[in-house]
Amino acid sequence: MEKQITSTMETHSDLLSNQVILRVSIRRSILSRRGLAIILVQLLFAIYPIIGVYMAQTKDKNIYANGAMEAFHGWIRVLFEIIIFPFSIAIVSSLLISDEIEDRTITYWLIRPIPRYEIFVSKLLSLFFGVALMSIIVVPFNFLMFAWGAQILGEQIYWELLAHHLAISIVANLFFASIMMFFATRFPHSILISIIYLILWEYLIYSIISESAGGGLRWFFARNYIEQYQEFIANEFFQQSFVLDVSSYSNLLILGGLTLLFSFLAVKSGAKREYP
Amino acid sequence: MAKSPLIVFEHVTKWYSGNVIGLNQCSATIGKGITGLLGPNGAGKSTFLKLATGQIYPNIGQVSIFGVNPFANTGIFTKVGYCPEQDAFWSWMTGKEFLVNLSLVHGFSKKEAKDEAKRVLEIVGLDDARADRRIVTYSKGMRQRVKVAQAMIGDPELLILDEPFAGADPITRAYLGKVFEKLKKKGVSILISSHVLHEVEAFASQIKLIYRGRLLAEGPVKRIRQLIYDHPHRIFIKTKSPRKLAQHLIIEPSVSSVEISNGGKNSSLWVLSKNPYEFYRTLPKILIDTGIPVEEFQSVDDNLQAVFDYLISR
Repeated sequence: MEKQITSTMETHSDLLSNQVILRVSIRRSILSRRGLAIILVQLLFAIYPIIGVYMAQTKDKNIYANGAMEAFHGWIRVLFEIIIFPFSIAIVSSLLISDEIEDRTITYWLIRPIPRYEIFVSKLLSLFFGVALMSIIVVPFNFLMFAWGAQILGEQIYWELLAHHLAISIVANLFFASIMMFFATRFPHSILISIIYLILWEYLIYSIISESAGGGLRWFFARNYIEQYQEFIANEFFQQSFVLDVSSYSNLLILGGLTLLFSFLAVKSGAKREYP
Repeated sequence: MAKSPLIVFEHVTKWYSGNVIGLNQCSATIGKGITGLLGPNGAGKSTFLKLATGQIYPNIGQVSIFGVNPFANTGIFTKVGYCPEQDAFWSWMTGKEFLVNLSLVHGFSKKEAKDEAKRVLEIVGLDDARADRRIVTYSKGMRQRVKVAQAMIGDPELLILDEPFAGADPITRAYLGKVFEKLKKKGVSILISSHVLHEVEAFASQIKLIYRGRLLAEGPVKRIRQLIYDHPHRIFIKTKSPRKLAQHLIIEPSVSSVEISNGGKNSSLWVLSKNPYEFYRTLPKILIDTGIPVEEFQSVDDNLQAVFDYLISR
């Protein structure tokens, strides 16, 4: 019978250790030159549509206004929300793990007497901090641009919708970040995997589900009011008020639950894998 | 074999993706004291140490350290300090910050962590203004010292050091050698890997030779030295009178064969000796008695690689 070896040595667990790992992870991945560059690129993308809107108002408003407004909203919704922001999250969350694995600095955490899962919980928290930071900096800025553009074009601004979008963006991107971190703990070259995943999810799977391209993540929260949403867009653009219904909160809960599930899987996977 | 083994490998095989063998049916016991793990690059030394510290797990066999399975068992690091081979640091940190942060993660309070960082910096001789410089500005030798220092956080009973001398300057090598001697006197056990025997023979009591994932030989330094002397050596001798010298050498019992290479001014001899120790003792006497001048003398097999090749072919 094979001899069983059991652990008799205790690890310690305290807040200070986690704080150090969290601080180092944030400093390295988000407050580094690369992290700040990612935020800057997002801000640039957030500013960019306003230029088009501004240009539009200087022309014949009757000709350009609707087209500019549609392009403007399209830009924000498709390019920024669906592509730029999730890609930024994908890069940051993948690098948070894979960078340390590739350059082996993760070894310095793994050879301390703290449970492995705590290392990854700290990393996950630093990732959530990064996502929240990006959301707080970039998303409201983007919406301010959105509101400003609407004002220039003489459109009504629907603040409830913007607030809803902000909440959804944060939760959806936390969910997205937890999946990305899970990938990063499972596969090398996680950025590549992330991009493949993003393309599959955002464009193929969602296309199959909703018969339109883009916005897979948003399907989770939009599915219960997708009809309202489509009607809302299809009819006169932003000419009716939008009311948050309970169903969208239930979708937020689903997203939250999935975020927790993938966070758990990411921590478990990180703690149980080999670090050759 | 040591009386109370710290690390035990039982028929351990480890392979990586792509069918790369890291260790092959390796059984070994590491006891107290200083043990040198010797082998050329790619021999499996780092795999051995990573298995011992639980960073990877064996595909076959069993590893234990202090009687427990080390894989993902970070509890062992209350007793074990590990110095990795790779030269990786967080670029923005100074040497002191690096050690304070790792001490905090190790479980020290803020004040204790500062004291602990100071203590280990003193041990490795970096307790001066250099500790406040960013690590990226350090020389290779200083970085090696910082890596050894972080392994000593928490005053472990066993230090596992993966090539701590690699790339270090002679002063750092000598300094770290003395540090390891002092730790040995304090009762700290050390497992140290290297690909050069003379780096570790001064303070290692036991040597394990590892090659292509296999443990080829083990024992005290003296025995390993003997292996180097005992295996057949090819000896190159450059002389203006190769034939005359060959006549005298071929009758020596320690010489198996002599090959003359005639190239005018570059005439030379290749001697194969089955008993190099005896040959090296006899050669000076022959040269003095015959008066044959020798311009160059070189033993091409007086190194670990030659011993490994010899042991593999046995």
